[in-house]
Formats: sequence, C-alpha cells, structure tokens
Amino acid sequence: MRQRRTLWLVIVIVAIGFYLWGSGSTPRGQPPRVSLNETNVAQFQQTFNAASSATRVVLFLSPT
Amino acid sequence: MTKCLQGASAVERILNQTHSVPVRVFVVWEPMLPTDWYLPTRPTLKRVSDSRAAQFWDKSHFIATQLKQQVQQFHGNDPSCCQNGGHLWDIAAVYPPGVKWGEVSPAFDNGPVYRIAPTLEQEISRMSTLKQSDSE
Repeated sequence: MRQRRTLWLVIVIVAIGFYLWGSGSTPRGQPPRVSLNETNVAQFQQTFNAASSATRVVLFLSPT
Repeated sequence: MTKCLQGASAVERILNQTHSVPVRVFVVWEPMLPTDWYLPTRPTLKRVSDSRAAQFWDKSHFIATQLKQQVQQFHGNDPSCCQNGGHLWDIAAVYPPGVKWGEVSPAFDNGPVYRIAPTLEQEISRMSTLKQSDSE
C-alpha cells in the first residue's frame, strides 16, 4: 500500500515537472524555447536576422 | 503579478491588436530575481502566446550584454534605463525591417515594458510602415 502511494507521488511529481518545464513547452505555433549557452548563443542572432523583413521587438524579462 | 510579467501581458495585448502588422517578437527571459532559479515555466511562456513570438532563456545574460554593447557603440552612452546589477532587464528594443543584429543599435529602447507599452505599440506600427531600404 505504501509503495503504491509512493509510486503515485513520483508519477504526479514527474507529470507536474513535465507540464511546467517539458520540452517544446512554448505556446502553439511558436518554436521550442531555446536555452542559450556559449555554444548556441549565435542561434539568437540567426533567428533575428532570418526575420529581417519584419519589425523586430526584443524583450528582456524575468520569469517571476 | 510582477511588473515584468505585466510587461509580457502588455506585449501580448499589443500583438492581439496588430494581427496584420509584420512584426516578430523575441522574448529573452533572464534570471534577475532570487526566485528566478530555473527555466521559465509553461504558464510563464504562455503570457506571450502569439505565433509571431520566439522565446529564449538566457541564464548568462548574453543577449542583454550584446544589446548594451550596441547602445554603447552606436549611441556613445549607456542605456538610459532598466539596469540591475549591470544587466539590462524589463526593457523593449525595437529594430526596423532590414537591419541585422549587431550592426546597429535599436531604433527605440525603453522600459519598464508595462509602462511604455502604448509607446511601444506606436513604434511597432510606425516602423512597420518603413520600407527596408529606409532603415538600412
């Protein structure tokens, strides 16, 4: 009984974690969120330049 | 709700009102507060849900540093607002069509985002009427 409860607790925690931070967690129609680091930071510039036919807005926000 | 999240919601409202305007929004989330200990969650990302947006998590403030350098290089001074611990945050930067990242400074930059939202909307509309050749 106790093992079963623990298993359910683990499943719920994993499900919540996947919901909050799961891959591709951006809204529908948007590309997946990119976590920038030293090796992929140029990806921001590439994405920005690829949209050069449009006005572009860059927002800097903190998540909480 | 924090001011930053109010700013995100304000931008979402602008996007809802400018469906026909060719604009792309790049949301750069960065850790500025003690509670920003991990990637933005799905409910946070959903604050800007328009399909014209792309979202980034910039833990090391790479992009904010590059924006600061652009302003210093092309304007000759520091950004006039929105710095915390040397990092830019709660700021919107607008670039007209045709320009490339790093080659110019933004045509408009200001914050906090929730407060400058009406001006931001005007700037987006104004710049979207420019031809690429006008802004290059």
